[in-house]
Amino acid sequence: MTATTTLERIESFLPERSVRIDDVADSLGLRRAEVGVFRKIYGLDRLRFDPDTGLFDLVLHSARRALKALPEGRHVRYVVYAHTMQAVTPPHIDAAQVIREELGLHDAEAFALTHQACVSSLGAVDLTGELLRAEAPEGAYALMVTGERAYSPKVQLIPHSAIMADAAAACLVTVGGPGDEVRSFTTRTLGEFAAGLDMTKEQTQGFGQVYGTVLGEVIHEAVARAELSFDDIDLVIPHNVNLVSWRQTIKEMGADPGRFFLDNVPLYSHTYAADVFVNYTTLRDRGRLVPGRHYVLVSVGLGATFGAMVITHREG
Amino acid sequence: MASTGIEDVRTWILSRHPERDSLSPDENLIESRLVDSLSFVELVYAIEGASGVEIDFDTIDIQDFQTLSAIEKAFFATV
Repeated sequence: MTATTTLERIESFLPERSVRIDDVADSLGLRRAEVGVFRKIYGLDRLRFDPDTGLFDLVLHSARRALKALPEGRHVRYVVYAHTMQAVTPPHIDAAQVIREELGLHDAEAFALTHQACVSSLGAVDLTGELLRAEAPEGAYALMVTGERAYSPKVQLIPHSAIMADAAAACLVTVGGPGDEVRSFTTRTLGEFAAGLDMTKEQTQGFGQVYGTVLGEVIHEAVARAELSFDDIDLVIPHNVNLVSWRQTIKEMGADPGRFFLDNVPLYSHTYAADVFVNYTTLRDRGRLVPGRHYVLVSVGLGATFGAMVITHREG
Repeated sequence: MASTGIEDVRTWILSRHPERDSLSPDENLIESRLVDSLSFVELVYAIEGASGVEIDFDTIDIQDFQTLSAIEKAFFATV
């Protein structure tokens, strides 16, 4: 029997500096009504945003804490840096290699994944599980690192959808370990929306029209692949894009809104591919994750990829 | 009798959805996706244009935009 992917430790990091969306409105060129809509309709309020925190300061913090869960004598075979924006460093800096070296994981293979945008972190977890099963020595580990800075207004504002914020997360992965079990991972990519931030108004409208339906289908498909029903799911742990798109998705699914964890949307806003892991740590630290219960990690990436991963929480 | 202002808002919404020829006062605009994230800011401007008053976002909530009835009550109620 093939060993399943397990999540041995998830950690997240948020810069301390918290601002209101009104504070970034000028730099983003947002008009009064747009700020009002973001605040009252989309449910955004505050975000962590610290221009003085560098990318590596941001991502290494949670990566180091996740690595502490590596058992004595075990090795990290892969370091995968998952990010949303294709350019997060100047071209002469390979962020994945820097992260590996800074963590002292000199023997690990390091590379980046970005093709699924904000789903890339879930995709990286899935991929590292596949690599560990396929070619790594028994007992090897992988480290998924995600997080990026809203370093420019051009990457901070997704018009009519989200205001991006700073955060990072890391996940120590192995196969057949005692951590949370990955039961399924489902993605669907709609290539007609590949232009992402450069979509035409018509394409953006089309994306908005299918968004809730497709996301609901992907969640249900992931749950079915895990051989569960949606009633078996304790909570959906989603990305923080905004409340209105989640309300529409929940309505499409005919689901109970109380089973979707949206508390962090007004606190942290959308933190690229880190959201689901930030939200996971919030729930874990509150004691809200119940051993033996099932959870769905959900994100959507511009481009456009919809992703859902079903996990079973275990006593950590 | 409905105010002229709310009729302007109804007309604006219907103009964006040529497949529709009517819109009931209590139909949920968000859940039915008659107003989506792309058009919400434009809805705000349509309401402000019809009412002649800038919306004070400190005093409103998403419920005020859920239906035409709610919009009328929040932004077009006669004093």
